[in-house]
Amino acid sequence: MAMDIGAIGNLLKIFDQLDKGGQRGIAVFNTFRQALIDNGFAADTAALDAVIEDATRREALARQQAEG
Amino acid sequence: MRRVNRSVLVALVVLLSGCALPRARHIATVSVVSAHSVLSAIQDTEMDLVCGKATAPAPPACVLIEQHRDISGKLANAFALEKKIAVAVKAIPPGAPSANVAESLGQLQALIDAVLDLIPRSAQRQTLVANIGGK
Repeated sequence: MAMDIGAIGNLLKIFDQLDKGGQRGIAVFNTFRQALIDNGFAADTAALDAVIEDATRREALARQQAEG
Repeated sequence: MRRVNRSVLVALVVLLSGCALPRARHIATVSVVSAHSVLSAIQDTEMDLVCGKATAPAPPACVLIEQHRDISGKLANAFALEKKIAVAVKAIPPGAPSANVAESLGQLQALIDAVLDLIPRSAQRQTLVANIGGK
C-alpha cells in the first residue's frame, strides 16, 4: 500500500505555508520533508524527534495562553 | 468541519487500524508529522485572530479572549497527546508489521475538529482551513 501522492502533496503545501509564516524554523520542516522522501528509519526518527521538541514548546505556549 | 485534512489523517488512521504493513513506522511517522503541521498552523493562525490584535478581523469574526483560552487549553492537550503518539511511534522497531496508534490519532483528530469549531468564520479562518486540507 503506497502513500497517496495527493496526501503527500497536501502535506508539503502545509509545510510551505508554515515556513512562509516565519514562526517555525525551516530546518524543522526540512526534517519532515526528508522523512517523507527517505522512508528510512533514521529520517523518520529525526522527524519524530523534531515533532516532540516542537510540540513541547507549543504545548507550553498554549498552556500559558490558556491560563491568561 | 469534520473533514479537516481527511486526505491525510483519516486515510492513515484507516491504514494503521487493521492491516499489517511493512512500512508501518514510516506511515505512522508521516501521520504524526501531518498532525503536528496541522496543529501548528491552527495555533499560529488563531494567535493572530484574538480580538484586539492588529492582525485580527473586526468582531464578531475575531476570537474573544475567553474563546482563546478555551482553544489554547484544547491545543495544549492536543500537543501533549501528539507527543505521546510520537514517542510511541519512535519506539516501534524496524520492520514491525503494524503501528497501534490509530485510536490515539482519532482522538487527536477530534481535538483538531473541536478547536476549529471554536474559531469564528473569517477570511483568515477560511485560508487556514484551505491550507490544512479542510472543506
